Amino acid sequence: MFETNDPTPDTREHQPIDSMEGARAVAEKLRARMRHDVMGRDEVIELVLVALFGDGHLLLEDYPGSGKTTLAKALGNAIIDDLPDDEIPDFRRIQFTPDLLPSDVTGVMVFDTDSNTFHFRRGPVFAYVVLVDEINRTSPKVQSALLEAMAEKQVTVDNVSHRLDELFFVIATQNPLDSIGTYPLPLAQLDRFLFKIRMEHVNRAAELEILESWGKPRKACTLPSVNRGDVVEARHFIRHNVRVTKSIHECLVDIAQTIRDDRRCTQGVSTRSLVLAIPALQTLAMLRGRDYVSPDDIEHLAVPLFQHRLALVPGVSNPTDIVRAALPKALETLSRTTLRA
Amino acid sequence: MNARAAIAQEPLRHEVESLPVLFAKWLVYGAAVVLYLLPLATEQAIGASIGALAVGMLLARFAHTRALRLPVTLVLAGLCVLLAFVAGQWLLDTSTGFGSRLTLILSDAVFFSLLSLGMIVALRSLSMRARVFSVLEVAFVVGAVAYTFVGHRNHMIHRPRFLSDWAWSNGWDPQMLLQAFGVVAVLASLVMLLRVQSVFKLILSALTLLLVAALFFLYAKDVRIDQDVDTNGLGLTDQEQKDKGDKGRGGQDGDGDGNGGGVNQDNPYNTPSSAPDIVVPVAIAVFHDDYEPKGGLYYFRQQVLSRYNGHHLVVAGSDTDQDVITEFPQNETLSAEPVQVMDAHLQVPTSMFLLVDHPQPLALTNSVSVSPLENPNPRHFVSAYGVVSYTLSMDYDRLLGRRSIPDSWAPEKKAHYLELPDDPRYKALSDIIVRDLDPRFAQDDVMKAFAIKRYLEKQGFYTRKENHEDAVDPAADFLFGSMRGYCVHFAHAATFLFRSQGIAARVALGYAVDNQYRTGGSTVMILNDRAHAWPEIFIEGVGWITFDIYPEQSDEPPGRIVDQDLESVLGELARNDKTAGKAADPDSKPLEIPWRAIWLGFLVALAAFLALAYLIKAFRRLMRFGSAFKVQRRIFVATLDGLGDLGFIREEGETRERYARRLQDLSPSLAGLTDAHLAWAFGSASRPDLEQTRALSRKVREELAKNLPLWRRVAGWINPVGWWFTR
Repeated sequence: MFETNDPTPDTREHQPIDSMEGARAVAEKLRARMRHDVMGRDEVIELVLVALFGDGHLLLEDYPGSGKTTLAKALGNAIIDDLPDDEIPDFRRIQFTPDLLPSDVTGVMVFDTDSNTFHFRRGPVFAYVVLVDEINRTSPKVQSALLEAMAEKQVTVDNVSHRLDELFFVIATQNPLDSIGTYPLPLAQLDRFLFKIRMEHVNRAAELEILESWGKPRKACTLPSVNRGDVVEARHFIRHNVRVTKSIHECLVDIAQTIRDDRRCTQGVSTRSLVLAIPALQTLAMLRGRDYVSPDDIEHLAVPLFQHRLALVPGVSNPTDIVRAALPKALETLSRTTLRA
Repeated sequence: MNARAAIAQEPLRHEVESLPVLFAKWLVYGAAVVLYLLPLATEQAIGASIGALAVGMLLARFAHTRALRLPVTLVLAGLCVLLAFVAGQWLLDTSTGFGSRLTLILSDAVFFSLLSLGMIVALRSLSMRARVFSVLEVAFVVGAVAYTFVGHRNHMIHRPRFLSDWAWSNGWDPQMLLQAFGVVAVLASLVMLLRVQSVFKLILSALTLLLVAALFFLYAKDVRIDQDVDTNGLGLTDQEQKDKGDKGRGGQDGDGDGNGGGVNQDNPYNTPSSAPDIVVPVAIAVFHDDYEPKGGLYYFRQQVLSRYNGHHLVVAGSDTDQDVITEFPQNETLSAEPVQVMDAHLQVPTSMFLLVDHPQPLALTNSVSVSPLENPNPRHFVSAYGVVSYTLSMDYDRLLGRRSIPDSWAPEKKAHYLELPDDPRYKALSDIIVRDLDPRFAQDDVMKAFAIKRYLEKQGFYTRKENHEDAVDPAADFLFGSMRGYCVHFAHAATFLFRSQGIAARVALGYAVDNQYRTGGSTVMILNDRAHAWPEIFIEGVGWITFDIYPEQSDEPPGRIVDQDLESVLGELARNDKTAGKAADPDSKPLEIPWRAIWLGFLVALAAFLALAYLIKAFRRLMRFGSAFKVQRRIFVATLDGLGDLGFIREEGETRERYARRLQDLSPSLAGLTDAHLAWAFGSASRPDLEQTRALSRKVREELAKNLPLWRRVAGWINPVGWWFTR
């Protein structure tokens, strides 16, 4: 028997989002907050926004000390919890270690002596923005516990499923070089992340700026933040109002097919990845002030969307080239459709 | 990224040619194999070999994609070649029950197809593995053409027969055809350099090359291809020309370098010791009437040597030997001192056509006049002239009783023709020779001459192996030594012996063509290995007569039969028959290529193409009807056409937005126009209206006008095919 512990439904205290400008304003506020806290990471911030509004999760592959926690924290802080009753915090960070157990992530049943019943105590995944640090350092058991949360937005403990918040957004990180004692994520799990972003070191100017600002008393961020409900509504709005034509679908399928046919790939991209790609493309179009998905969006997102989903033949290690090679033909076909009747 | 990772990043290297390129290469290989095998194999074997080529190319491709190791492939190919020999021979040795003819055909086919298979697998595998080995493929193709047409060298213009006969019979010079073949062979061999490329590129490059080659061919088709170094027109002085010419002629008797002149005129002894390796025709003589020489030899004289320079005879000054014409006629007939007794001679008019430059005109002895002729075929003949010769019709024995030196000769002239080395042995030997003459003829000059001739013929040994060049007097070294030598020695020795007996004598240089190695006809082909030197004596009342020595002993191989076909082809060319006598009907017109019509057709096609292109351009630029959706698209297309005219073309795979960003500096408004178009195309809810689109399009045009120089825009207006690149 399943018992669901639903959080209370949305309360609508905020302005409803009913225009492209409204949705974009929400995104721009978040972008401004994150840019205030994280310097020199504009491209990553854009992809974070795309993933957030595209209802996907993010895998950051980067070096220690590259600002990923700051980034996730900035995002969490920028979202105001407009549902104080549900006791879900804005932001949680989980450091994955080899001795972590699934219950450390999902939560645990606790016996309450007052009522002689078991109570579910929520784990750290119950948050809007969850930073999962070093995801490949924990055992597959814990990894897969997180997976259910990511895919279904719920956790199951003792056969009872607990819904997570609708705005559940995971930013996972892993170190690309230091692979001793790790449990690399299998493809099936990687496939659930919308993007895998490889963060490069920030440029010189940004790094200097970071050093200069260090140690000075930071002014509290006065930039406006957004409501959790705004983000959720913006998501819905984007989903329903940014046009995706059939030709865009065809282009995605063409790219997938080309990647699958590539001799360097033993496994190509999944259909799920194409499904996940649509809201991401819509979000990027919105961020760029359009209400339709254009070929440029596909070109921009194809590499972060697909590169982590490929299994390669021995000797080949750069999936980016394969994705890039698949683009021109499909994009050309797509571009040519616009001049045709 | 470490080095190992960098290596791993490289894509797998199993790239192979696309099938159409492979097909093109197969065609080229097939043509080459046909050329190689045509003289060797049966038709069936050639067909089987071409099939084997296709199989071999596919096998090599398969082996390459499967990353079969190169040494393994090569060993397999080698085994295949080995199998060709074994299987071919085995089929011949065993009784197959097919009958002898079928067995032969089968064995031939198996042998050549297996050979082709092994060869193609090896060649293809090598060239696919490393680009440098493509050179082998090119060499294979070029080699086929060279191998086939190599016979055409050295004026052998009737070879290869299958091509030359056909070309001549259509009135074409095979040389032109061969040049065209050469061009095609080069183009075809370029196909062999192709790697992984598109057919479109192949065709385009081939067409471009063909155009260049055709232009070059048109320019070069009338250029005479000759190994001769033409010293004229190089700005040399007369002396240098002479030196250079002499050097060129120096080895004429032996090495056959193609330059005319026969025996070295400056030092006749300085000639190589073997017959020329390459026999080439140097001239054609066409007789106007039937004529056969009395002794079976045609003597074509070029120069005479009569002055003794202390070592050998050389050309005398211009006041002596005036019966010999040593200059080519320019515009008027050159006449020589006439022969004294007309009824002792037969008048023989001939036309001479030189294939190789000579310093003096060749003419049948004894020529009295040389007149200019129009060169019927400048591509093959360097000069043409008519000759009237008076050949001795009287039998030699009828000359008996005549004296050599007439009384009318001045003492200087007499002394000139009797001058000989200061060596008493000549006189002593000739005295011994004439001592045994019948007393009745003891004082007869002709009889004495005959006695000397007989002596040399009996005692002398003709060989090219000894030239006595280092001796102080080579003639003496020959005559009083081994008596072994060749024409120059015999001619000099005879001349000195004649002179010692008071007979006026000199050495003539030229060519002696033996009638017995010909098969008749009025054309005589003179080959370079017929160069000869012979003595001439003067007989009072008759003039200079050929008095050649025919040694009875000789180590020379018998003369070669003259190639009758070549003789007749050259003869017909000399008679200005464009079909070289190959057409069945002598009056048939040679096949004409309608160049005019082809040009006209080409121009009309070009004009039609341009008209159509401009029509389409104008139509696309001006067309503005239809729904709002169509109109915005047409406005956008017209803008893109304009950019295409200017050379700003969206690349394959480039998104429209990126294209617009690329041209950001040139036309900032293009991005807006592109967005407007994409909003329409991708179903935006807020599409800009047509007025905005029009305004943006106008703005793009204004920006282009502002940012581009006038000539660039004019070129854009003229460009007929910019729209082709709009996509």
